[in-house]
Amino acid sequence: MSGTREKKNQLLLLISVFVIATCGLIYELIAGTLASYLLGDSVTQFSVIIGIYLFSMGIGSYLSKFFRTNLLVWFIQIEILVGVVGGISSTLLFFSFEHASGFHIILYSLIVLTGTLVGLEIPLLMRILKDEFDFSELVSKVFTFDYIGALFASILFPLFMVPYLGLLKTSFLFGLLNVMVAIILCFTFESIKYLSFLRIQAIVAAFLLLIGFVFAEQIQSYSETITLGENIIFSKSSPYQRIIVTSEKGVTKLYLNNNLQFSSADEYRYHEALVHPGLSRIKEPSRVLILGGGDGFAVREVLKYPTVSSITLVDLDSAVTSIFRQSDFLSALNSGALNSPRLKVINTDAFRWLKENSETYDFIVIDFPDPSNFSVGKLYTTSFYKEVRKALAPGASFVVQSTSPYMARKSFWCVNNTIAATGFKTMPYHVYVPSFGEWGYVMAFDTLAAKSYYIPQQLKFYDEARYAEMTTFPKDMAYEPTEINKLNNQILIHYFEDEWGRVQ
Amino acid sequence: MSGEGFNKDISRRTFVKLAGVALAFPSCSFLKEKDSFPVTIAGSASKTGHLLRENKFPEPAETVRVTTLIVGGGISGLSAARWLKKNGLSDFKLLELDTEAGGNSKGGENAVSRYPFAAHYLPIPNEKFQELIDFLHEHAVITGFDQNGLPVYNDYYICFEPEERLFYRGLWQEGLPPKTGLIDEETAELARFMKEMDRYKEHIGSDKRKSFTIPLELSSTDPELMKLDGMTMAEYLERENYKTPFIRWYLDYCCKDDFGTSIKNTSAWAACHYFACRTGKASNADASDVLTWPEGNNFLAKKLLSEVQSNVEVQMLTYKIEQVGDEWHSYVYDVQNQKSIKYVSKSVILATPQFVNKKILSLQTAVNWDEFSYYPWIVANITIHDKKSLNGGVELCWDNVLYNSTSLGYVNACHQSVNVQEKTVLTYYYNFSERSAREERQEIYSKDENYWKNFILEDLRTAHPHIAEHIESVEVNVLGHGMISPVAGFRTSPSRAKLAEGHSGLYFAHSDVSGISIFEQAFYRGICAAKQALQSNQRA
Repeated sequence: MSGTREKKNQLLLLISVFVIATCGLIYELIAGTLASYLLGDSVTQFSVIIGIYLFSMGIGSYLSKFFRTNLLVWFIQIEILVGVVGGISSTLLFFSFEHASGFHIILYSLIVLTGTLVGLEIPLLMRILKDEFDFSELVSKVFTFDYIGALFASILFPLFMVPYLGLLKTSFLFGLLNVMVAIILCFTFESIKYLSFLRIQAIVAAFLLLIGFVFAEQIQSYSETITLGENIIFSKSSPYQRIIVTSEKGVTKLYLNNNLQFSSADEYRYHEALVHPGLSRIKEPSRVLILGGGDGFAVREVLKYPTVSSITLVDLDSAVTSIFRQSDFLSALNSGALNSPRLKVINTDAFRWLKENSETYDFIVIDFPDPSNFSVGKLYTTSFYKEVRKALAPGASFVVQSTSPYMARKSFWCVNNTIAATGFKTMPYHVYVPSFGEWGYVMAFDTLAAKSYYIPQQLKFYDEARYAEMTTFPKDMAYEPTEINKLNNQILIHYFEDEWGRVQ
Repeated sequence: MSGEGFNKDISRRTFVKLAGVALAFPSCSFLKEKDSFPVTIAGSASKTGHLLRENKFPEPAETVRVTTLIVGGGISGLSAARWLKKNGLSDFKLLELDTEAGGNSKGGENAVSRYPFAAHYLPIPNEKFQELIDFLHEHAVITGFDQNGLPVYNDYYICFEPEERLFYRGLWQEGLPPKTGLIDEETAELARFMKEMDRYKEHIGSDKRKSFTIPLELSSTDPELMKLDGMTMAEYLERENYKTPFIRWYLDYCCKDDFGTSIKNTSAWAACHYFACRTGKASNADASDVLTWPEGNNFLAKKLLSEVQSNVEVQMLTYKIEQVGDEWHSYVYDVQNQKSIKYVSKSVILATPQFVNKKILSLQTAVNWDEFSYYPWIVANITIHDKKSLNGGVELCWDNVLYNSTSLGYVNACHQSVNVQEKTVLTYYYNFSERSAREERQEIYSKDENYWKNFILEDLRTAHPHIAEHIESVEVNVLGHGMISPVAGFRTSPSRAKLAEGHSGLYFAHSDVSGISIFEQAFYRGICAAKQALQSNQRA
């Protein structure tokens, strides 16, 4: 009777080896993945994390000799600790990336702590089991379970855990498994010391981890850092929006509130199409106004016109204009446009600025985010375009980025029709930008030159031949009559929600 | 004795310890009260006005002669003044009791925004109300007229989208009445009611007049329609067999919001007028649109005032008016200089409400003053430092109403701003008309800042559980006599006819003569009284 019971307990302890080995490796993989997500350069990050983790396990193994009595109690205690630390590690890292300056310190401290605790587990367990088996049997059994657990973790993690559960849930789940081991042990071995203390601790820990697991999505949605699945090189929440810059395989992307603003792979198509069809038809343009476009790409294109003596850029968010001016990495993308002596940057609300403005310009580039809420929607109304008119010099024209005529056909034509209703002639056109799809613009003017006066030499995409092609609309993007977008109907928001709502 | 001393000692020690703990954790948010924002009760003119009750004023120290005297500087008084001036009379004075003119169209301002103390909007006016159209055109609210002769309104003054939302069944629903969230019976009854009101919009009475229009005096007096004035809106709903609580709540809300009293008191004619009179045409707006400004109708009051500023004197309390031969003697207390002045004039325009007139007029009249009821209100301007916190389901709208709350919800004062801004001011409205106006008035005058804070928070927390954390400050305006209420029988009241007629040199301009407290009526009554006074001056 007592023989089978002991057998059972031995098996239980060996299964614990399997579980803790799985958990241990999972924590390591989570730390490595998070570090490469958040810090970029996955080879370096993974190598460093694995190295530190294994070294910390060594520290744990070394420290194990100082535990002399009550080994099972210590083992259970360590299980609980590993479970809690490992379970909350990804949440902790995730938050400290946004909110703390010493992210590296927190990252490596967590790895050292987890590694040390995990390193304690196997030596302690081997000493607990040392009287149950002979030495060769013990070593063989423990390490067999240990390595099976490792294999299990390494397959499970990329194939199942990351895609289906996400990093936060994965770590809460394995933290919970660790604590479950502790709970099972302290309900099986009833003769050990500090039993009720351990039990309460384990149950509280399990409960907290369970809550974390259940609410992991809410925690994650608190920010979008991880959902992009790309290497984030910069992230900041300004008063107006969340700014994220990612870089992967040499391609840099900017996300504002999780919406892609550009990809360095093909932004030249978007920005050349934004600026040149209109600006090249202005005779010797001298003064240019850009509303929105704080990333400086439109400025870069405008600077290619030698006659332009002054550019005014009005963008709400100083956080955007300053990183695209100050960061070497990002200002390399816009060729240092935001540092040009010909440029004046004003960080304020474009509508208010325009209402108070008394200057006129030869060409105006309007590059606002898509009209996805009422605040941005105001910048696409008849009232706004009436203010734009006051800022146009005789013979001047302007261009408006107008969302995708393919994905949001009504929205696109609504922008066109709204501008037309304000008394302008319009020339709608579109271009294919691989990372966006078909993208649309509306040019507005009283008179438009039939041909370009000057097209800069060094363009990668736009030339005069493209113009005819871009201003022709195939059937699936063809003209549609729409209502006019006004401050008192904001109809464009409704079109936009309908159309993009279907896509997303 | 010694026992007491011991206890004191202990409690002092405990206090010192607690203070130490509090000092040690100055940043612990749980020690701070979350709703520790300042609340102030704005001084209304009621204190000065209540001097009338004691009626102890010094003998007049001087006599001033003017052709016409206007008493009261609300919209009707200002409108009368403007009309006099437009018609060549500049020898007149307008006396206002408060520190500034404007009446229910006064407003305030803080670092975040301007805001109204009461009236918030003007519906797109009847395009045939020429005097009003002219006024709006003169002040660029109307920027021009299109090829059909329809007024073009300044785009920035037409209420922006999103206009209204209702917190119903635990969610913000778009529109009021909401476009979503209603069950079939509710939708059906609402549609039936609206269809009936649409019929009234087109309906012409037996006297060939529009059934319901603004100014309401021009509406038909068809006896069939006048029957509606003989019943309350609650009785009307009963008679027409409306069953759902939703429509009762909705109409109750509308009556309180526009008339300052519930469906139990409101004349069914007035309630139908509210829905059927709004048929104004415009080039760039619909009849259902409204014109609004951060400071509400204070915008319009200031425009009126700008035309007559030099004739206006403030902090002047008129306490007695009597007829002496062909002349009118008005006794006025100058609050600032604490002296009385006697004004002698050919004519007087009383742009004061009847509850004041009853006290100051020494005159035999057939007017039954008790027919005029004015329920109290509070209007609170709440400064919010994180506007986004008020979104949820539907973005913060201009008008935001809570279903089944007894409040009238709040208006976002910054709605017409095109700028991106984090803060805003909400103007919160509450009408007290469950009990008699007198009882309600006594009650609200007795309450302090803390009471109003909790009162408002408790209401708003149903839709915004954490609103206290986002409030910067609250300014409460207590309006003892909020507005005239068109109770059943108001339209056919002989007293009103008597007031409209006037009294050889004495004319009544207040909107309570019409019975409905809206800008258009006050503006209209002011002009009517001014016309009467001009005629009477010529005769004299």
